[in-house]
Amino acid sequence: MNKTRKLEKKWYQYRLRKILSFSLLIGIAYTILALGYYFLFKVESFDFKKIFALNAEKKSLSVESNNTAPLVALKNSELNQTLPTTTSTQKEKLEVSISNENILLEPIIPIIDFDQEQRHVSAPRATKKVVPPNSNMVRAKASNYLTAKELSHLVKEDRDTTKLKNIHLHSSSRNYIETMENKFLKSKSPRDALLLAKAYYGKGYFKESEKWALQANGLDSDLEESWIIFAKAKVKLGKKDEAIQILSTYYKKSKNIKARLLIEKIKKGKL
Amino acid sequence: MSNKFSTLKNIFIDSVEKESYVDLEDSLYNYKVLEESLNKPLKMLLVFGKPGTGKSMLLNKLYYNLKDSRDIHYFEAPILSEKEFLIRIFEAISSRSIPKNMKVNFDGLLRYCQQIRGKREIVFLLDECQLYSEALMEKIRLLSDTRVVKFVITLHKTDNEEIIAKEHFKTRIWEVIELSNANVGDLELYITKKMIQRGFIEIANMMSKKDFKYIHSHTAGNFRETNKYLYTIFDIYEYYEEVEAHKLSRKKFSRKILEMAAIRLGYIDE
Repeated sequence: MNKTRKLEKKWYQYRLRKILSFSLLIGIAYTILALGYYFLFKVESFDFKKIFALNAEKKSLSVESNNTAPLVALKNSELNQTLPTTTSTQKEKLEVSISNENILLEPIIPIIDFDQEQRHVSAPRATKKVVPPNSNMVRAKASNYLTAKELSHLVKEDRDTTKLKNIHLHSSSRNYIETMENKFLKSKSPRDALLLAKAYYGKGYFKESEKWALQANGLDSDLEESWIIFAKAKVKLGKKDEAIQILSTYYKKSKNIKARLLIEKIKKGKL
Repeated sequence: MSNKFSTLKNIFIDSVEKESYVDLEDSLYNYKVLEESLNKPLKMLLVFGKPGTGKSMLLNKLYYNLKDSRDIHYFEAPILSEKEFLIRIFEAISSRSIPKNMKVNFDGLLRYCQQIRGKREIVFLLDECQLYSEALMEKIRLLSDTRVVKFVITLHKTDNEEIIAKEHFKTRIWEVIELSNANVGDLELYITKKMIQRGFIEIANMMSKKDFKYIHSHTAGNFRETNKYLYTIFDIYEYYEEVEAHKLSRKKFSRKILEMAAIRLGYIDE
């Protein structure tokens, strides 16, 4: 009798151990799943796409740096003074110095400035940036803002290979976005956020563009271009009515002519 | 302490009694092959298999079924002494008893067998032959050569395989019946038949396929092991029926008791 009671006790221990090990197993499985979900969908910095794209970009840069370097040099005359020759290693140095020295970034990469898309190639820059003395920022040169037309013109002059131009543009823009994002993380400047919104818009990432425009607007609601880009991105995302509503609100408040023109453009479906 | 489970557990006490034999598809087939082989002019028959596969049971069934119609003798326990073995053989053949202080001369026995050749055919069923010495096995071989004595021997699969492999022995064993462990279906049939034969239909019906699967997972279809397991299960059942009957379900077989028995027998860790 006592023997069976002891056996029953042993059985209870056995069951408890079995239940515990089963629960532990379920717990581990659940944790793994939750962590996987968290990293995949919740952590913004853990962007697989970005990581893969960056790796691909690095590879393409190292392969084609000899070809792309002259183009960079051509469009960065000020930078060329400090970097007279443009070999592949110097191209890398250039990138490093960009991230290390807090350079004013607009002139580095020839991105397409959509606001000035209509500007003529020969037209001089109207504005100049004022760089404070003793600043370690490299002053941006107006001529470094290039429209698509300017870019194609220069590319035609300097390089005949369209293929190479495309590769260059792609990799540089990516690099630009990454650099800008890093810069924004440090500066939290609405201007930087706006530039990112523009860059993403130019690349066709309208959702990202919308996000950054909103970010810029949040930091400075008077930033005219943040409204414009935000509305443009909305249109591209198929939210035309929402875009008009936003622009109307902004127009009522600011009487901004650009906003009004854009509303008309959207209504006519010309965007 | 005595209840229905006291009787039930006892039917699973390992024994080779004829009543304990349960006809399964495989065992029926093997029995048929063995019975038919006895009518063939074979000198030796080998029943081969792992321990607990029902070799002894098969010999036992054969003996009880044929003892009235044939000159058949069953050596249930192995006789390891050569002197004793020859005395038992001589006594079985001649139906005469040998005085204690005398021994049988093997050459004389062979001559005696040759004299009765064509007149009689005697069958000897020898269980657990892996325990016999090689010298004794050689004598068995010579006796079978007289064609008067026919041997049905059982061997464990893992033991003494080299003896069987020996050329002189191989040529004499003309029929080999290999027995294997039962699968889940056979085991289910074995357990339920055994219980139903003794009138425990209600308890047999309580057992589900899952229970038989669980039993098979621990016994691997070995009949001896299964008997031991079921004996332990019903031993525990007996206790609960007597002391804590409220803990027992009348509809479902207790998984708890199955596991408790497995713990007691060391199938699962405590």
